[in-house]
Amino acid sequence: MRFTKEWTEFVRPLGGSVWRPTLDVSVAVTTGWETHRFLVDSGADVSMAPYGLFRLLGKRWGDGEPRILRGISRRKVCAIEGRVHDIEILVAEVGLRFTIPVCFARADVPFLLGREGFFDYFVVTFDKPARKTHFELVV
Amino acid sequence: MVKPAVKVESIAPELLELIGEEHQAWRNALPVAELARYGGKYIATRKKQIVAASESLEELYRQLESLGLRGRCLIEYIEEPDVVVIY
Repeated sequence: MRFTKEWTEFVRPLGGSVWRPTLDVSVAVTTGWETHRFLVDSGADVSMAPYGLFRLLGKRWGDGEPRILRGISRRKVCAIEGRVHDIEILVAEVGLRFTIPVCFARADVPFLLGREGFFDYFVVTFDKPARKTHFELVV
Repeated sequence: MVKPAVKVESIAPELLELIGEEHQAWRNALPVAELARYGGKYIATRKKQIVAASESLEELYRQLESLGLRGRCLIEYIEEPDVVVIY
C-alpha cells in the first residue's frame, strides 16, 4: 500500500518560497478527530506537537514519559522538557489508524512526524526535484 | 519496537476532500504575499478557504468551535517569513 504527497509551499525569509515535505494527519481527540499538517522530518528522533493539541487528548500530562528536547543549540539552557504520550492517528490516504508516540512540550513547538513510531510503519522516500514524498506501508 | 495493530477506518468524504490533491493545489497556489500575511499564525482551511487564523493554537480551536467547524478543518502553522526552519 503506497501513496504520494506533494510538498507544501512556505514563505522564504528574503522573498520567494520554500517547499517542505508534509503530511496531513488526523489525531484522535476527545471530541473526534483533528486534522493537522505535520512536517515529515526524518532527522527528528520522535514526533512532536504543541501543548494546545495535548489539551484536547483527555490525557494526564504526568502520565507521559519525560524527555529532554534539544534542537540547534547544545546549551543546556536551551533544552526544554517534553512528555511522550501514545496517541492514535489516522492516515486517511490509506484509511488506517494506528498508535504512535508523540512528544508534547509546553512551548510553541512544531508539528513533526519523526522516526520513532511513524517511520516504523512507512518507508518514506523524499523526491526533492519533484517536490513529492512517497509513503509505503510496511505493516 | 513492537508495532501495535493497525486498524482499518472508513474515511468520511469531507476528510478526503481536506487532505486531497485539489485542496493541496489550492493551498500551494496561494500568493506568497498572502502566505506572508499569516506568518507566525496557525491557519485553518477547508473548501479552499482560510476560515480562521490565530497566533495561538488554543485560540484557533476556540474560533473553530464558535464557527461550528471543530474537527472539520485542516490546521497548519505558517512560519514567520524571517525564520529559517532547521528541524
